[in-house]
Amino acid sequence: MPTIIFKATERCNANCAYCDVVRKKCVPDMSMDMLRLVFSRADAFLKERPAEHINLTWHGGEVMMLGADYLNAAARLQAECCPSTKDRIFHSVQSNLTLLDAGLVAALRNLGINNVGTSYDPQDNVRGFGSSRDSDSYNKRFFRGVSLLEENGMQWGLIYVVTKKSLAVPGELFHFLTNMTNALMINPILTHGGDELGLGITAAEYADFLGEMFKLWWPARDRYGMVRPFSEYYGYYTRRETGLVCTRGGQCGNNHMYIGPQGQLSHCSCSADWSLVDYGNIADTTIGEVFGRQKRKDWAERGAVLEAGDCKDCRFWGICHGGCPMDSLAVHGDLRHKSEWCDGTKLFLTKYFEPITGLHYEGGSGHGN
Amino acid sequence: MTTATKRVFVVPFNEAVLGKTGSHPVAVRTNDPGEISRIAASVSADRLHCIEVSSDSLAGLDFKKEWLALPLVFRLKRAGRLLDSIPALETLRGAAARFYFPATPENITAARVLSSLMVKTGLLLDGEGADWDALEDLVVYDSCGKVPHSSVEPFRYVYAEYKNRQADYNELYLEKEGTFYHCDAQGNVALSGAALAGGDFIGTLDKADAIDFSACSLAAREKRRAPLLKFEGCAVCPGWLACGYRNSAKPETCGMKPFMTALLDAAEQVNKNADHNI
Repeated sequence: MPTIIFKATERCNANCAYCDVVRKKCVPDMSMDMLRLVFSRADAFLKERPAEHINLTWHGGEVMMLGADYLNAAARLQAECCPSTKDRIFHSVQSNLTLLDAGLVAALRNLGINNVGTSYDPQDNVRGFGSSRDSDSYNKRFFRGVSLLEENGMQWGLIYVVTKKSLAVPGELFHFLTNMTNALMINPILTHGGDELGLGITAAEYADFLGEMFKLWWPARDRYGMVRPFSEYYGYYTRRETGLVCTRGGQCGNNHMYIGPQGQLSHCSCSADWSLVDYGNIADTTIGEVFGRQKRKDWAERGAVLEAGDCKDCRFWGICHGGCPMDSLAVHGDLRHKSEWCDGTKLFLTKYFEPITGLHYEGGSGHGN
Repeated sequence: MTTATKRVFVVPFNEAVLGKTGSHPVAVRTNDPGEISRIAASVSADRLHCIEVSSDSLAGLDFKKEWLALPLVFRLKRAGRLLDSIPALETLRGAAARFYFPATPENITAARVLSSLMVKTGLLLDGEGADWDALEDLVVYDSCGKVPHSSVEPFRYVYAEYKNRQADYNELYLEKEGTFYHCDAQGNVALSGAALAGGDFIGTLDKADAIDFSACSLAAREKRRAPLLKFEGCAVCPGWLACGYRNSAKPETCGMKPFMTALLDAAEQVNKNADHNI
């Protein structure tokens, strides 16, 4: 299913330390005319592909800055512009939840959204409001948002971003985060857009941090629920489950695209935030054309190039696929290299995952762009 | 669309008060076992959450056979001399009733004996005077014991709900804020038993429409999560998933961490055993 990372706004009410968007020059929100055009393009794409679906993932900025009226208008435009295809467009959203209210909850439901992705950091002044990154008031509003979702029967999942501040307290963070939720994803901070605050970590630091958390998760994983990447690796090792996240799945070349507030097209949120990929503008390009673009050939060839190059003979290829292509693009200017995070993946799997679980992976079942 | 949280009114046995609770479920409280049959006759079975009877001891209780199928919850100060309960044992075994005691060493021992006699029991984990080491032993007995025995609350609840971040075993004690609303004979409504006793009312049953129950439920959720606003104490405790800060005003010295962690371990073991038909 094609995933469209959809940024109708880049405005945000927060000032999180690791966010690339807050450093960017603010652009106006997507106009209603542009929003209508996006749905018209989606309709045309789906009409030509009767078996296909689109996942429209609302990102920001903070999506809730758009307000309930805007989200309700999006639902109306979808119904108007996609009369025969609207049921094949699914919405998901990433929000910091701090602006959530009853009207916004209703608007999310109107778009068919019952599960909200969010992020959180319990350590002071990583996520917060204003120049001081006031995390106290941010946290209160975040938990109110969580309670509001639950009161309305909605699900939520959490992304935690590992920074330099995280490294000293993996155990405390693990318990805190799993006390909050049983749907957790742990990602490293990405600093290609800059690291003025010195929060960046190395792949080895990330691997060791994950390793300390894994020691807690593994023996009691039933109670802690889904913690990625642990559950992901476990699923792959034991059942060859291929539900790998985009950075490891090796499939984003086939199914990801980005639409920004002014209709600008790119590959994904990272490629847009770091100005790495330009596919033009939705005003003069169809969705089908974006997926068929010549530039996409680089993605198609990436798998074969890596298997013969950087990733040759790596037994973890089927799990990692060379990592996120954007890391290669940001560091090397092309897609022909593995991500610097691959070393972290390999270190975590060989130093922690395999010895602790007793599982072993000999490779195989790999795919990739 | 709002998924309204289930609302249960906890009321004394008073016809006038019961009449003001509409079609909502009710938990009827009484100190007089002699009122049990009359309560059951006054409230339709589909609306009766439970009848909670406060009394002194199990030994002093004259349990009637006509109570067998009723959703009875006895809050007893102590088990008393267990030998005195032997004549009623067959009736107690077959009853839907559960007998709760404070978690003192004597009562924990009694709960274990009663459980082995197939009588349903429960312990009140209110943090005051609880013997956490003895409770941990009882959890091991309950979760690992090969001899048939009856369930002990809140262990059974945690075994079933330990993955549910919204679960709160205080609902067994009718004290899950935002779900249970406590009322007195005058129809005053409070968020908890303690608030009712302290006169901290949120409204009256006569004007229940004026009470924003949705806001109360939302506030209760926030209150349960309040410790997570700090990156310390209960928020980073591995026992939180069972305990959830619901029992102690002094989390740093609560002493519950080993017990709650053992309870979670037991929950996992019980569920693994069930998966493997052990």
